[in-house]
Amino acid sequence: MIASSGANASLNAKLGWATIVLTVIALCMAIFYAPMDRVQGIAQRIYYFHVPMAIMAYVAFFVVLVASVMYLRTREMKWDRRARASVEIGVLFTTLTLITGSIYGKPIWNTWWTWDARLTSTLVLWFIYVGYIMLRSYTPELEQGARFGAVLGIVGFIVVPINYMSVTWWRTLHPEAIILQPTPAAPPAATETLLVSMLAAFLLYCWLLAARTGLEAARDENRELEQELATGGATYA
Amino acid sequence: MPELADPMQSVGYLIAAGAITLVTLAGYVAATVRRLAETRARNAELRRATDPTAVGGRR
Repeated sequence: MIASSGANASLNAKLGWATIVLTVIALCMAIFYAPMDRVQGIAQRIYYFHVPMAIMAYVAFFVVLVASVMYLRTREMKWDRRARASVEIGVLFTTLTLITGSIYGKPIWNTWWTWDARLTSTLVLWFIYVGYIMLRSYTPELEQGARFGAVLGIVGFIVVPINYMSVTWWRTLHPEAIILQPTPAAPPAATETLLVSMLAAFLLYCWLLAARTGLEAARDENRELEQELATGGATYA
Repeated sequence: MPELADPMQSVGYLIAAGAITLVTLAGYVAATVRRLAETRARNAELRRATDPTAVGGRR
């Protein structure tokens, strides 16, 4: 059944409004509240768009990993739908991470792109999950596609910890985390702004995941109904 | 960081990054809502077509 229940619809609406309000607050904080960086100047504020997108892409791909494992264990299509939904959102967030990172890099590094470990592994991550979407769209049989997708969703996740650790393992142009560590090396206002931005991005991810999972459920049901119509389905007196 | 000497250019980079992020996310949300509405409408249509008791349904 694809129609969302009244309680679910109400919860989704509340989640949507909370996301909008928190996004506006995060924007205001990033522009007016976060301190000005003495070295990077105003361009440093791009950080408050760039980092939440990157972290939420990790979250999205982690959900794909969990959903893929659960699908292979249970063979329940609800897990495959969550994986399909989360992959698309993860790719969207990774795309925005690459774009905002490139714009951030130009004034700070004087280049739009460099083949350093963090940037290159982010691009590899993007290609893997774009490959997942292509694999799913080129596999007409739903269960076969779900199986292939689950394997790719598990294997592809290997790149996520490599991407996260790349700034520590290799000497890169991309800096290490300065806020997301036990003792942040940034003023409290910067940490607070980043946390609010990340919470806004997390709420957006949750809302999108709920909506996209509902969409995948509706598409699956439509596919079944279309097949039933095409084959004559059950015979009615 | 040669271009940081011009603060207006830095503002331009910030506006570009912010605008691309917000417009892309808003566009994706709008596209998701539209796709959901279209798929649900198609679902209702298919249910009517496969339901023998519905008016205009298969008998």
